[in-house]
This record gives sequence, C-alpha cells and structure tokens, in this order.
Amino acid sequence: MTARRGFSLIEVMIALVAAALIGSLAAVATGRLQMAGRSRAERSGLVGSLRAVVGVLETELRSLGNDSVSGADHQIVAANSLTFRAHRGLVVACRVAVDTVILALDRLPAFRSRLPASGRDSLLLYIEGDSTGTIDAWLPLPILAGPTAASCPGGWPGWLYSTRLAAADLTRYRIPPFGLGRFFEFVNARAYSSATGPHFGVEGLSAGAVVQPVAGPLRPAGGLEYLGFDRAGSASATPFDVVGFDLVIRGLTSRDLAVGPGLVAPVADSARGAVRLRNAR
Amino acid sequence: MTLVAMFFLAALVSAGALVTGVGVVELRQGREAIHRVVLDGAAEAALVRTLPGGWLASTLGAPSRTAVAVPAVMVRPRLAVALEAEAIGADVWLLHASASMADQSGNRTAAVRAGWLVRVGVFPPDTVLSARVIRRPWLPGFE
Repeated sequence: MTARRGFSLIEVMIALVAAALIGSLAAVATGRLQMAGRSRAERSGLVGSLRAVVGVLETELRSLGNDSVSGADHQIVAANSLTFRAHRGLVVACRVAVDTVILALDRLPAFRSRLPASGRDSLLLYIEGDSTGTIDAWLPLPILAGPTAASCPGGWPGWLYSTRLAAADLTRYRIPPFGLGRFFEFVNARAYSSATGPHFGVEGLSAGAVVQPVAGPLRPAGGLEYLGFDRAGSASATPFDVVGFDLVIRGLTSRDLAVGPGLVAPVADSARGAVRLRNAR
Repeated sequence: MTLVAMFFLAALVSAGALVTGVGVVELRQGREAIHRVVLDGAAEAALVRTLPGGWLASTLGAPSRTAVAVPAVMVRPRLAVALEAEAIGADVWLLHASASMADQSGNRTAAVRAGWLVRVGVFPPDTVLSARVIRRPWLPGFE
C-alpha cells in the first residue's frame, strides 16, 4: 500500500476558497466596525464641539450688562451675529486725566485674564452715584497707548495708559480716586462662510483682528441663533431690555456618514443653552 | 473557525472599549458641567447672604486695599465657599467668593470664583451702615 503524502489539488482549492471566503467576510465586518466607530466618533465630536460653543458663549455673555451712560454691552447684528463687549478683567484706576489714566498694581489678578492691551481693549470707568447709591454708571474710555510704568498718588506702582476723555465729563461725573475700571474688547461672535461651509467663529473688532474659528461646519440655514429675552421672558431685540439670550447652534459632521442602506450624508445635531446677563438690570 | 471566532471576539471587545470610552468622556463632561452650575449657584448664594453681614462694621474707615475675611460657608460636605471683602476705593468693596468641590480624599475637583462690587455707606433714609450692589456688580474669576 502506497503511503499518501501532501494534499490533493481539490483539498488545496477548497482550503483557498474557504480562506478567501473567511477573509472577505472578515474584511466586510472590519469595514463595518470601522465605519460604526468612525460614525460614533464623528457624532460624539460634533456634540462635543457644539456643547463647547454653547459653553464659550455662556461664559462670555454672562458678564454683559447695561447702564445709562455706556448703554448696553451687546448688539444683535443679525440672527446669527452678536457684537458685544467681552469682559477681560477688573482694574483699579488711581489717577484719571483727560489724556491719561494710571491703573494701580492691585491684588486682584484673579479677576482679570491679562493686562489691558492698547488698541485692542477699552475701559469702562465707574462713576459714583448720588448719596442714595442708586444713580451709578460706567463711562467708556478708549485705551490708545501703553502701558508704561508709573506711580499712583501715594507711591503705589502702576501702569500708565493714554486715553481720550472729554474735559466736560471730568466735571460732569464723579470719578473717584482709586476708582474701578472694567476692561473689555469688542468682539463679534457669528456664523461665517469658509471653504468647507458655514462655521462659528469669534472676531475681535480692533484693527488687524481676524476671525478665530471655533467650531463647524454649521447647518447652512439656522446654524446659529441668538434670541434675546427681556425681564418678562418675552423675545426682545432691544439691547437695553435684553436680560438674557437663548442660544441654538446646529452643526453637521465634517464627513459623510452612513445614514441608510447605501446612503451617506453629513449627520446633523444641535445644542441649546440659555444665559442670563448678570450685569443687566 | 477559531480564527473567525477570535476575530469576532476582538471586534466585540474593541467595540465595547470604544463605547465605554465615549461614555466615560461624556459622563465626565456632564459631571463637570453640573459641578460648575452647582458651584456658580453656591458662590452667588454666598455673596447674597454676605451682603448684610457682620463684616460691614470692620469697613468703617478702612483704607484702600484692606481685606476683611468673612466666615466661610460649608454648603454641604465637600462643597465649601470661602469669602473675602476687599476695599477698592473709599467706599467701594469687592466681595469675592471661591466655591470649591472636593472628592472623598479631599482633593479639589472643581472651583469657581465670582465677585460682586458693592458700595458701603449709610444710604438715606436708612440710618445704619449697609452694602448695596453697584451697577454692573458681577465679576467672573479667571483662574
């Protein structure tokens, strides 16, 4: 009897076909799993970035307010565009003249993000009210140049900035020595067009500033909405009446995802938020 | 068959790990957002409660930059609010609250700082010293 060694051609063929079949099944399953993972990651990324936008807006907008001298801090330019004074910190003004202001080196660094930057930031200087404490307001002042090292009356170190204050305002308003100042920059937070569709970005309104992209792409229609509301909770677009905003942002995944058998398209999601303006009365 | 079974097992494990990872991240984000809301509320409530407090007596004649410690508030275990009042001008004070949350080991897990600008004085027709918030009183903390 002859001993049989090796495999017959039929056996090898069957093994190859079986391996190819298993391999193709595995490739299909791997592809589906990868697609499912990518889809989940895209959706999760979209939700995360939309929530981040709402968080950024809530943080920026809650400092807004109004008063009789400087008016309201915000202006709705369009349903998807809001210009506002973005609060950047608190300072103490130890000397105010028509063309200069000295800010004291205080112990309040936890209440500012950085030092005021000339050309980019402006000041709101506190004006004392009458003896009832009910008439008080903030006077807007530009910051034209600075800072340079200076001394406050009394010897405290400080920073000197150039400004422009109407002489009449110096006599009209009670600007106290060691008065308060808030500094801010004007920014516009809006939907803007880019090569890959509408995005959300924040643009400083000082010279040379550009849009800083924050998130996107947004849905082409209704991708971003600011809805102001007044004290009674009714919709309002009058800046001085607005005490809060409802925010809606609707985005799309940056890649096409499977949305049905053989169908791929960007998937939409949205995030909402509401912010009360803490300094609006 | 073993290879196919191992492949499917590996696929299941990686899918499970992915879902768990995404879930953990979302849970953490959600918890942080809730903590911030709680701390914001605690800080603001502490500031409101501080307004008519006993610290007012120590403000009389205090020079600028005087800091007055206000008794801290323990809202609940592991959630505390530290308070301080600081003179900024002749009669303008900054009340600031720092609310923080700690885990079971006592490590700080989240913190929020907020301030209120107030004027201290005798405001007719009142005849006693009191503090009143000024226009645009609220300040966010930057950490």
